[in-house]
Amino acid sequence: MDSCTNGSNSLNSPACRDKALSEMLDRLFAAKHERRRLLASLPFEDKVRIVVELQRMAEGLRGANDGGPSRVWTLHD
Amino acid sequence: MAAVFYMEPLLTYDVGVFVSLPEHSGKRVSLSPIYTYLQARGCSINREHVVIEGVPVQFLPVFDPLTQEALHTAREVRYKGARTRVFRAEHLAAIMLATNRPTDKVRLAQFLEEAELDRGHLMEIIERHGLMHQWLQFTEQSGLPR
Repeated sequence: MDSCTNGSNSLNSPACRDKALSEMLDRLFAAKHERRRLLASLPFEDKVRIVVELQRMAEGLRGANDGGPSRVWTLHD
Repeated sequence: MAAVFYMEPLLTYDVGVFVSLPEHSGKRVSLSPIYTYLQARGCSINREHVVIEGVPVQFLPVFDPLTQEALHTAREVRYKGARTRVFRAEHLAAIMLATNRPTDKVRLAQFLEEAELDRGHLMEIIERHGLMHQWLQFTEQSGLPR
């Protein structure tokens, strides 16, 4: 039996904390990878809409004092 | 933008269109006829881009056997009902490898992870266009499998 799954040891020892953290990171990275694959499989039209959304977000981050013209695409549906 | 066809959407501001220009003996290759044609139809020019329906488009002449091959074997797709052509994933990967810019290396690593591509076909293209040295260097640096 894994000593870290035993209630008395869990998260109290550094080794168990590291193991739990490592498992959590593995789960998070796997979920991130899965989300990327899901996004990659979207129809191209949906991806273009997301690209425009990203442009809007980047424009917001650039801020109003940038002064340059908007680079957000003006697509017609 | 073509990479977005195969991978998750990423921030980009322009569309690159590769074109094969007719050869005129003794004349320099020029994109002027394309610019003139589009300007006459209401498109504006912004530096090296033609703004078509609000989207900056950069026309690029095919410049080597690899881009020429990519253009000739591009796959036909439809976008909102319109026919268009997109480079195959394997050619896009090879072009990113050939250009060898830091941004392309980062994108290539992500592209190889996300895009569904035929690894055997990619290796054929890499060999055919003399990119094996860059490939080995790239896989060593990125830690991706050969």
